[in-house]
Amino acid sequence: MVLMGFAVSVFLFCLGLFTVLTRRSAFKTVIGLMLMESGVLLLFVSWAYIPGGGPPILPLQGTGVDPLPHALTLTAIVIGACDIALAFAFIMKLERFEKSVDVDRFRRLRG
Amino acid sequence: MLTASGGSGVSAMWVLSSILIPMTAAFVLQVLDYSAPERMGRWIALSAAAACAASLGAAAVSWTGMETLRLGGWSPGLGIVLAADRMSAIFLVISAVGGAASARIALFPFSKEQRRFSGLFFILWASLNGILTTGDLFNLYVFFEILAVCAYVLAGAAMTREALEAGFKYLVLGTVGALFLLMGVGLLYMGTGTLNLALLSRAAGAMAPGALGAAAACIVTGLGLKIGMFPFHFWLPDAHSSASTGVSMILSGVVVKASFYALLRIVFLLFPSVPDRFSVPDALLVLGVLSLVTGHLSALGQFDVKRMLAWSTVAHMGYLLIGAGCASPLGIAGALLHALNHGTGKMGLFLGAGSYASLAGNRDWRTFGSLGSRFPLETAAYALLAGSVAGIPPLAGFWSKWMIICAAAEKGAWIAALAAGAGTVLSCLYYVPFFYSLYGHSEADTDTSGPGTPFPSGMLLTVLGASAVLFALLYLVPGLRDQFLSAGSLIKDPEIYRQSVRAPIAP
Amino acid sequence: MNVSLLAVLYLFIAVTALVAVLLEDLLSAFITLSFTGVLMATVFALLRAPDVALTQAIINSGLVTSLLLVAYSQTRKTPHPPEVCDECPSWLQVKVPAFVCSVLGLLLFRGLYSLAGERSLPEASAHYLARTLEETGALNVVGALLLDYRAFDTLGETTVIFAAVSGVSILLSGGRRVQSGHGLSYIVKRGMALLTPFILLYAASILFLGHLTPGGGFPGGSVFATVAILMCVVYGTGFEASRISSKSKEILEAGGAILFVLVGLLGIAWGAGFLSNLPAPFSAGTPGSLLSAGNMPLLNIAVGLKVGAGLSSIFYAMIKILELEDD
Repeated sequence: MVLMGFAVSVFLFCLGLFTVLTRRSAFKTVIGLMLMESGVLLLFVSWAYIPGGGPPILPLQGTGVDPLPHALTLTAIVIGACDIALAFAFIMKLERFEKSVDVDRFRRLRG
Repeated sequence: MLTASGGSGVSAMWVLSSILIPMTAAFVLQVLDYSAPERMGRWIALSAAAACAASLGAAAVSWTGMETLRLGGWSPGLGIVLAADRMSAIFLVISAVGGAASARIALFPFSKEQRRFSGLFFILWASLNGILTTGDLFNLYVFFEILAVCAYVLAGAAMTREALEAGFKYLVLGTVGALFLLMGVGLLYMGTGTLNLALLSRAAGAMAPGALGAAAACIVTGLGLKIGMFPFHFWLPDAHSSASTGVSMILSGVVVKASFYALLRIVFLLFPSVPDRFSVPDALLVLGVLSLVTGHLSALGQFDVKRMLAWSTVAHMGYLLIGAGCASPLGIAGALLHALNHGTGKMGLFLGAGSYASLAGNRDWRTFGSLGSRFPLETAAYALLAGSVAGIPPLAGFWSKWMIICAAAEKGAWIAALAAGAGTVLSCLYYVPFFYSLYGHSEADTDTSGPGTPFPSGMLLTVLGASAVLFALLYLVPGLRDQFLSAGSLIKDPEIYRQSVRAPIAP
Repeated sequence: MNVSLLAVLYLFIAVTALVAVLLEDLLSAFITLSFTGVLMATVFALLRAPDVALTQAIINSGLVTSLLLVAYSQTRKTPHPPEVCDECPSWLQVKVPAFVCSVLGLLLFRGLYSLAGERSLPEASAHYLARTLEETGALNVVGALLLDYRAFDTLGETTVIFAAVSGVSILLSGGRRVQSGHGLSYIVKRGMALLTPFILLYAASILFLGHLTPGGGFPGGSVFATVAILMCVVYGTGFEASRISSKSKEILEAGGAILFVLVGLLGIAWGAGFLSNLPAPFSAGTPGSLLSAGNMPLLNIAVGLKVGAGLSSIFYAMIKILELEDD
């Protein structure tokens, strides 16, 4: 079962990277970043799961799952949201300058 | 409960304060602005001085003996540890000098709209010191994210179309890099069960090779994006040239160096070189040569002085990577010394470029005509800095490059040694026309400033120019040179690091 | 644990992600992405990660989607660029990135495959699960990790929020006076008025009980921010700004950060070290009560202030620009 989680998270990560590399709308680029982030989050949480374990709230009934990746994932979610919010601010500001959200136009700086 | 080794609790506090002082200053400045807005300039100067002092203090205590600090009192396996040794000390000096110089340029004269900007600047500084002193892998990732958010905004804060585009590009590539870094951190945790760098260093060897290789690839990709390593350098020329002068100074002078520090630390603790097999340091060697060549060749065609300098930064990160890739004490020491030289040198170069550009009214160096003769002292300082960065003996930059070339030759990497040598020639190829134009032989001779205008920040430029000469002493004086070599040899022996952090978990 | 349910959810996550990427219409893509986020929160809950599920649902599916929609509505007048670039050679367009991503995927999966197998808890995690109550006084192990064992990371995280809020304010600084929107219809306004106290209660319970039950400063603060966002949308930004001005939000935000650092420094003042909890003069209290676990309730409040004020400032800064456009 953990392999299933691994497969989906790797899929999300690579799909996200593909989107960042190939799509032209700045919004699609941001969607790609969010997918990459989701991939990593899913990886952490599916790794943390120990079969038969309960949620890491005391008192435990039986064994618990690994709580450390949960803490790391929480931090990563918040940090990711901040990055994305900043990306939106850039897009909104750029759109006023360029009147477009075409990433290729943003790449006009060459050489 | 406070510290593990390397000095009393008080000296370890310097390390913590180098992070806390700028961070708290940023928070407090926001609130102060509401109560006493007219004195902000003074508060900012005070905060910058305090942050500089804290960084220097941390450097001093780390140089004399490795400092560790257990945050919250938890042992290394359970909590986060700060760990700073000689290598951190060198970069802390760069952070102190760079932060102070950039603060002087970017934050003064202070105007009301700059309130948020100054907050971000101090947080950037705090995160730099955090990267340089942390001993925990995930903590490193968090500090990198703080650094990144500040850097993206500061790069775009000039609010021109160019700056915003550069900032957005930096954001996208930087976030991809951060996610690769996070993936690598996750893989390492999964393989070893710990996040502490010292414990990881012991356990990484026992990890499954497929996972270790994937983790190494992810981390090198992630950090490479932050350093501006080939082939991930595309954001650097835009971001460093479109930013305002003070921001370019700290980005090119300090931020990329801190990312390089992280790469050095992680690679040599977790993925050390394995004889007879292609290991991570060898990959760094190859990528370093590619960065060097790309950077210098691209700088040749630039007429925008800041863009030329930014491409030169890409090339110099290549030198650092070559030095690291040699994986020998000489190579590492050469990279450390070069980081110091290039850090101060590039800051001076960006400072001067900004001043010339404001005097001439634009950034095209072909129009800098009479400025050289009008300001002989400052231009001479600028020439010293350029010579040092280009690697002309007997200036400082030559000696650090010489160490790197020797290390590469020792290792048998002749292509790398040749490339490093050729780099000096290439640098001269683009600096010489620049100075030629500066001394009055340009095509267009626009000088929009009046005859009496002083050179902006001339004093600071002269001081930085002096560093180009002074730092040469670090190599030429044998006592000082041995100190650097000792810092280099620390990398080769991770056992010292591990012992100082003192591994076992309290039962 | 129902493996087949998990498998179905995983499949849906992959499919919806793919759909979100391929859809031409951005609005549909955003809704699909939000749906993926909700599915992921469900998976997290099934994988016994309640804190993470809560935070994922609130922040990624809720807040980020609303920010996305605001940014999109700002740009809805601009022409949508075609998906593929006409001038670029087609091999560079899709084939090379697809190849690179596939190679990356294989490399990663191969690495991960070697890690799967008989697994047990790492030493440190076993320690956390066994000793959290006596070492920190908290019942929520993840909360104890975030606010005690690894509190320095949380300080860093709040600093990221601070930097992001500053960044968004710098980038989106307007200048002209805001013309407030009128909000939604009467029914929605009355309905919202009835709901708001319950939402606030929910936010408070997540925040203040963070050391006992799943939750904590981050999801709690985010729900507070959600209330501010709902007020903006339902009643108009003028109403929201009159309730809590931007200036108060900034002070609350900075105040949260300063509180965190002060609590940490208290540890030093008592000779125990930065961010020390029980060794410093914070009492563990009775396990399970509101005032237990030393400084964790204080830190939760600090984090909640930061996150709530920060995220709502970001939303307000974005929607302000939107209204400037309309005049």
